[in-house]
Amino acid sequence: MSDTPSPLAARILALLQQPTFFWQVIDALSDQTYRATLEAWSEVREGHDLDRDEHGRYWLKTAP
Amino acid sequence: MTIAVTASTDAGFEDFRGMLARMTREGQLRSVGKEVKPQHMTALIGQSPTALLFERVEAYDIPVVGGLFWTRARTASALGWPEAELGRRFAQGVARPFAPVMVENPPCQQKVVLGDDVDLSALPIPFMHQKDGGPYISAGIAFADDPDLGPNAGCYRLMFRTRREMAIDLFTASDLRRYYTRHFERGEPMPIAVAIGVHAFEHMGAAYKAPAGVDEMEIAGGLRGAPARLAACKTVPLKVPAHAEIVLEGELLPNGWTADEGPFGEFAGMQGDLKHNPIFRVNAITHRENPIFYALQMPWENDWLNGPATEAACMRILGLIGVQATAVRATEGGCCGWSVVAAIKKRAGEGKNAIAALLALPVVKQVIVTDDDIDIDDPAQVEWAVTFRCQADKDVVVLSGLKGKHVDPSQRPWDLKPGELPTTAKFGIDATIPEGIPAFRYERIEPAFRSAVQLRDYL
Repeated sequence: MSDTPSPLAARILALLQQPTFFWQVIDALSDQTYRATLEAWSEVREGHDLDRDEHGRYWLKTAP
Repeated sequence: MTIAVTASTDAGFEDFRGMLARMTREGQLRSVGKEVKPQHMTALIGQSPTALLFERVEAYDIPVVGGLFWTRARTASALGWPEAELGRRFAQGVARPFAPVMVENPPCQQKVVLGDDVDLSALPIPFMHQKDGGPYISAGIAFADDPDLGPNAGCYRLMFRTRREMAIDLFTASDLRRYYTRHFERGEPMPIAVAIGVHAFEHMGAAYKAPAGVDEMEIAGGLRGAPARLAACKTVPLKVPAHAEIVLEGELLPNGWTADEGPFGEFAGMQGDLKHNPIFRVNAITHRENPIFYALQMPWENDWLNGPATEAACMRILGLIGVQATAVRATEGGCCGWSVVAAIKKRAGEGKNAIAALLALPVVKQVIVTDDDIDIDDPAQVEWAVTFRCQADKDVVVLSGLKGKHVDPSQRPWDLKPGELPTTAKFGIDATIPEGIPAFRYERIEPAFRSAVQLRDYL
């Protein structure tokens, strides 16, 4: 896997700077197909550790 | 585009496609030709009076079907059984299991994708509920085997993580959890296979909580009245339904309960909690030509898979105590397990005997018992019986401190200490004619000369 995220993965990583529900990821990427979003989500999960809160929201572990 | 919802070419054996074709003929399933996004399918199915087959799913070449067991009528249609017979037929099937037979060159392996070519994002795994943690495979039947415990099949949800990985919910006690724990303690991965899109007989057999050592596919054969047809997997030493639409082969990693999974819209109709669970790494995807993806819809579709088993258990326990049940219904609002209505041919005291027996079943939480002149499929008749045959101070039975379930918020499970199990109160309503009141006091009104006229002659 390249160190440089794909443009779509980069958009997801930007979202995950703060706690984000999965539906908000789909919503924010609504200009893309669902399938493209899943491919980018896979890329994000393969390359980054994600944290969760009790509501199920995601964020990057490196985020404050 | 025409989807091949036609009966199997395998003469005499109805597979998933044959079931869909029959449900279409019976008006329980219809096709949607307009393109739909995967994240919209659950909302659309919830608005539909029938199950739906989405022929065109945006960016995928795999159609998706859902809502097949959403109602009692659809469940009966899927099984090909009369609605009133679900419990009785299920009990007969469990009592007469058939050993499965093996099939060579099975339909489920018409296409094979291996190793690095596996990409789960190529499957139209839907995002179903607003607060879900991700897309879910909700209709997966997990198959496993153990040299000591034997083969096992069960229904487990799987959350999409990456192109090769799903998180599988093994949080609660189950046979698969037991199998996995043995591997986990040795630090070894455990081979499993997940079949998606199998006939109602195999799906309901897998959903049945069979006693340890009983092969659920033998139960499926009993329900079918003929052996289930299985095939050897390509990359793991397991057997799966030969006519499954899609099969995922791989291993549960020995990571234990560490991978985030959920929340997911649970079978009780409430959004569940975030959990931590094992990871399923997928090493192969096999499927039929032009496969159909099945997305089971929560909660009712999941609940109806267990409804016939609940009704069968109720009839069995009433039979054991000598109460003659004429009908038993596991009702939808009680998730086809928590709430039961039974009609009986009552002898003195048996209304309450029936309540005591039914409340002893592990899940059943509320019971209404009526006489056999009440049509328990008609809620108005049941309410009428409760209203006029019941005195609350004499005929409502309340039991406290029975075994409960974590999924019920009214038990405040969050207050439990780690490892502590919940207890619950249960109640039953004896809506049978009270002892000492003559039946003529309940004589129903009858339209004059009812048999002399037919409305159709006047329309």
